[in-house]
Amino acid sequence: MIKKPELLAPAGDLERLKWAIEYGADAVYIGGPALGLRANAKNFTFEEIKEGCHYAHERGKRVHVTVNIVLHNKEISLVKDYLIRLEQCGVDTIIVSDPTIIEIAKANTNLEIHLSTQQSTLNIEACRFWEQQGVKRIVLGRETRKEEIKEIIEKTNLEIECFIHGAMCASMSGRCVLSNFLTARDANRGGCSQICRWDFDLYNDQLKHFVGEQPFTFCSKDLSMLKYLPDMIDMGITSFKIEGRMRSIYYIATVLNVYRKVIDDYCNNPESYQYNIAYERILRNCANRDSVPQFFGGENDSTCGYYNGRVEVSNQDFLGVILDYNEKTKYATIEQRNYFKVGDTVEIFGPQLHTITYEVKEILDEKKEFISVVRHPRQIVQMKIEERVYPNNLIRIKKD
Amino acid sequence: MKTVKYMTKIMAMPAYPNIDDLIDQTDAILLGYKGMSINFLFTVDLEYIEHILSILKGKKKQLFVALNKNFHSNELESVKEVMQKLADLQIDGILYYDVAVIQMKKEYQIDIPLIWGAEHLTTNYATMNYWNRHGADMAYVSGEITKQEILEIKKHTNMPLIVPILGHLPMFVSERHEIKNYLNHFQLNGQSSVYYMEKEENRYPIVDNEEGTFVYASHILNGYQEYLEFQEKGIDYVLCNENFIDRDIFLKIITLFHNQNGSDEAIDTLLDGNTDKGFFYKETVYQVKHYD
Repeated sequence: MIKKPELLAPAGDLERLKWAIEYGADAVYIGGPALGLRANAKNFTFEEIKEGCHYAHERGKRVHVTVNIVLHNKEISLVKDYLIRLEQCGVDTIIVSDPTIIEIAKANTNLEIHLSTQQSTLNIEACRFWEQQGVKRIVLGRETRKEEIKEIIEKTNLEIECFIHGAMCASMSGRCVLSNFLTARDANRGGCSQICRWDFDLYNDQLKHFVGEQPFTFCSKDLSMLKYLPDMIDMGITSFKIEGRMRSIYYIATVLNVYRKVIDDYCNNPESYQYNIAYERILRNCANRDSVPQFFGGENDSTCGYYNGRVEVSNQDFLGVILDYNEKTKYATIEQRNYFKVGDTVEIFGPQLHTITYEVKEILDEKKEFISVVRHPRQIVQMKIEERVYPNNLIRIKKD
Repeated sequence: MKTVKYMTKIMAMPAYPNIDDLIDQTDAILLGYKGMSINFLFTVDLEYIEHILSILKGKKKQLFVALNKNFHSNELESVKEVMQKLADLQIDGILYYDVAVIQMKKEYQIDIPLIWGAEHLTTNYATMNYWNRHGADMAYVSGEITKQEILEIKKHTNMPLIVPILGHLPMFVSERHEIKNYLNHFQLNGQSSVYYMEKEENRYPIVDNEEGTFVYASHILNGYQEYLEFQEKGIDYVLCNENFIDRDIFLKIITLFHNQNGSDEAIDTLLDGNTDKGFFYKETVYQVKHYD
């Protein structure tokens, strides 16, 4: 029996934490009220962390909290009390970049310590150092190649966590301060303003202006390890991490739904596992961005760059949430999230289902009157769906 | 009573191979090693180091070598060998970024002073003291903290500090070949060793070489006035980085530092007005809500 890796999901707030767990996350990572790297996300209060931990633990899931800020002098004195409060809230793990936080955590708490990808750990010797310091798990740098990951797993007792999906920094983690210089927002303390997605004019040393069809940018395609998941499972990677604490419920549910199914399908029956190319379309549509395996297989070339002039339009695939289902009448109650109409072909998905494809034939409004379009935000409607669906299943438009 | 000034040493990071004329105006030289260093416009091998070391030692000057890449596992054996050879040559220290360097010093008992030089992460005294306990002897201070923070660090650590004082500060390191990829993608010609990317009339030097892509600040940090203050406060070294500055001009600037007869204005004039104070007086912001 193959050991299943942990599927680790981002959760920007309590609502998303619950959705992530419902959609198959084994653990979630969240930001607390301070000392994390998403200072502009909503983040959790201590009360919310407590509630989130309670919710997760009741379901046998774990909560990791990012404490991965690069400390300045004035923050040193905050760390001890902050970590103690996190432990009191029931947090399982802290994700740490600055080793001062490791020392303070070891001296004052029993929190499990994971080393953040901000340390850009790529090699066996660095891993040995951190293992000796009491780090239980390392989130490897995203530049780590497959053979290096294998060696680290074989030669240390560390748990290894790797990103499998989401946006990529163009730089090595911790080695970019573009944001500091161009916007005075501190990239290593949660203020990154994503300069790597800006356009620039590019010149050579003779000041020849390079004019491509699109301007110069560092913007990278997203990461997707979908194709390589069986490889990664066979290698014994402990945890598969999805990027995106600021992502929507729809994104989290969609991505988790796909990866949960792939992990379960492969681990339950590796011999009969078959790659499902349809998942690529689902993942691409939900982020509305291209994704590639980045550094895992070796060289990172121009196919990893995103030279599309940032013309992505906002995604309106997410049509609604199932609130209820009446098994006798087969009517589902739905809360609208985007415009849809009679005649649309939609997909309904959720943790309990194989994806249902369904053509919208009739729609009833709250007065039980037939309507042909659902155009009002959060409008409550009913649709007859023959197959059993469940509360919190999601509806998306089906695209070819 | 007359105040006795601390002798802050001037460390130069040259951008061109011939450094003979720089040596007399500096107390220490920081060199990059071929294939193991980043943010150096030229890198050297052991033969060069041996040669320059004999000159420096003759003049009672110091030599430091940066092995400041993030290393992959297949590079570690070579890094270990170079560390050992540098130790045998008795250079004054290795500036490192990757934790592997400190681990290998310990594991293989390589007797050489180490400088914690994790570029943007060297921002507080507690973490400097942490690395001191784990085998680092000196620390290179981040270019993104304020003068007050630097002085506070000095108060709370016994480690000698190196503070960047002049030059285009590094802003970005990537293993990706951003320029090469862009030019290939759009089939553009006109390669050079240094490029410039421009936004809102600010022009940032950018280099794409075998180690990846590196971007630098548009303005040159000019900390002459602060250098004088750092002497009063016991800062051990200031680093002058020659990257993207003409040798003649850099030499004039270094001489002003060496003779302590310069001024911010004089240096600004030499650099065509393209200077600023970096983050000495500008605190970067980030939104952290107050928690109860």
